[in-house]
Amino acid sequence: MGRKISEKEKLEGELEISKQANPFSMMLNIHDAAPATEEEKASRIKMRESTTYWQDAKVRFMKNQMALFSLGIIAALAIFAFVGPFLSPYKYDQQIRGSERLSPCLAHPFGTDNLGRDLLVRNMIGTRISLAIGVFCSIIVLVLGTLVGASAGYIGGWVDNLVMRGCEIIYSVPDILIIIILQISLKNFLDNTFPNMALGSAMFSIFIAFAMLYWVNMARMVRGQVLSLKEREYVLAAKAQGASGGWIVRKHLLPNAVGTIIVTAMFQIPSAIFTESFLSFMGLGASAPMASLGSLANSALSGLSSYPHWMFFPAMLIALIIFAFNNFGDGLRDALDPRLKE
Amino acid sequence: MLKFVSFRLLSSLVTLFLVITATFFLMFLVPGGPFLSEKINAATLAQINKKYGLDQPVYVQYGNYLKNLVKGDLGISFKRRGYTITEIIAEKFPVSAKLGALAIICALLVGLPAGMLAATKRNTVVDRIIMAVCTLGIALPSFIVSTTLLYILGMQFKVLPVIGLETPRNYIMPVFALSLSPTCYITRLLRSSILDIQGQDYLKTARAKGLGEQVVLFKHALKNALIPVITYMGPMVAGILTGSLVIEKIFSIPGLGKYFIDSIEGRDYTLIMGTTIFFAAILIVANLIVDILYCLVDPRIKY
Repeated sequence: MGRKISEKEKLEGELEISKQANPFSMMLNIHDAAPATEEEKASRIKMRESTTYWQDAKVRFMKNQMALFSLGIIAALAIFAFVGPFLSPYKYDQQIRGSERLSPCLAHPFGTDNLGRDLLVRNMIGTRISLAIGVFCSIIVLVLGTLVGASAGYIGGWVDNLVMRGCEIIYSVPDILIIIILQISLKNFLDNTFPNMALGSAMFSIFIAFAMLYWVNMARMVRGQVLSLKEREYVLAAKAQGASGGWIVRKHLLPNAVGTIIVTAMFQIPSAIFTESFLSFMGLGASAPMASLGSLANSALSGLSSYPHWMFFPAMLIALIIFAFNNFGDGLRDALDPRLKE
Repeated sequence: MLKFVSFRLLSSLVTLFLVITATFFLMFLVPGGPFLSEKINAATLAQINKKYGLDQPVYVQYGNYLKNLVKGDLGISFKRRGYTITEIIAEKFPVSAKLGALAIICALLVGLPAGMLAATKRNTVVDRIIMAVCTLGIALPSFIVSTTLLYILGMQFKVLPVIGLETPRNYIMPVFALSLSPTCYITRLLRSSILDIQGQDYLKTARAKGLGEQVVLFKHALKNALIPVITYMGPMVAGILTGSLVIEKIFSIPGLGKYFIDSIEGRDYTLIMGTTIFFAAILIVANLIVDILYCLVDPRIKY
């Protein structure tokens, strides 16, 4: 008898037949449903390179021109504040006899004050203090708020209740007033306990006051995130495999909440700078000969009609810093947490 | 509702009590007494301290302070002799309150229409300009705005008086400086909340009934969009209160804010405490009122 027709030949034979068949036939062509070969499969797969959360965020951020521009301003301000003073021939507390109350000129681009101190370098130091206060306060808030918020949210029960009641009370307290009170008493206390403090007791008491009041926002935010994240399936899966509480918080909850945490901390920077300049303007912040932008503006107030440039430069710098950080924070929020976009 | 109000009232009292306690003990951290700077001998100092009860242990002084506070007595000023703190507040607060009230009214009168305008003309030039001004207005600290105004309008062009509050024209600059940032905030808040509720079913229903755009906007949209603005009223009162501290300093307005600053500079501790407690009480009451209003305006909120 004839040889046995293999399965493959049979298929090919049918293919020939169907090709010759009427193209208008409604009959189903079985070969259209044949399994794809490896090459065909390869040609079909259009894989995008897998991107991490951070790469995604970076792409989104780079598209945001306003945020990039703000980042540029922040970088320029940081160079101005941290590198600038080294390039200046004057020191911030150096009183140059005979060149008091100069208008802006080549030797002193920002002019000099009533004691003959170069205002350019004083503004640089002031910007440095403002930036340092913003960053330090936001780090303190970040650490304290995240710790408290994450533990309150994760442990729940009476711990959560206690923390949240505490937050509510601190939240409804008038913050500026309490900061002023804290600042006055801490400054006196620190002056007596640790004389000759490197940073200055005023600055240090501002740090403490901020840390005590502003962690609340962060703690609330983190707690909310943790509460919603801890009900997710992957946390359940981790628990089922015997993961400990600390592991779950570190490996599953915090990484997922990190966008919100960073954005909240970022917005803390301009608000801390705002408050510091406000306090210094009222004569409560940096004490002479140290200069902060607020205290420079404060000392300029009395000579406003004759020496407007004394006020102009620190005021411009404060406005620029706050504006840049606000915009940068907005951009970061849109990049890290697109759901929050207005 | 009654349960909610009484609960909020209770928690406000707790907050106020904590503020008073914290303020009292923080003030105590300050070493030395209010009379230490004056040149008097030790015996006289001891006598003065005894007279004001400063020789007693802290907790006794605290107890006395609380007892007097309940009676409405905030003590006497250490620097402004012969005046009680209550008298000073009664004398100075009306000046600040008038300024603050004007600023709140201005913020609402300008902020609400501007927010509505920006929302209805969304993505047009008008909207962009309003939003740009608002971003700037929020970023600028009030002391910068007021010194700039003071220099340009008061000193260069001399169109407005620079100190005091004698004539209505004196109010223009301080009120503007005080209300700028709340105005901008209200505008942004109202704009985004109107845009938020734009797609809601009840607005579609209202339009489908054939109501005019004006009626839909004012009667249906605005009523619901106002809720976030109402919640902002508490922080706004706080902002205007603290803002008045610097504004009164800059424009030499003899209000409570300027007095508070002076008391800090002069280390008049009873006055610092008295004004802090007074300001805190105002804020706490403002927050309480806002919470109750919030509950009344939006029947969906249940406590």
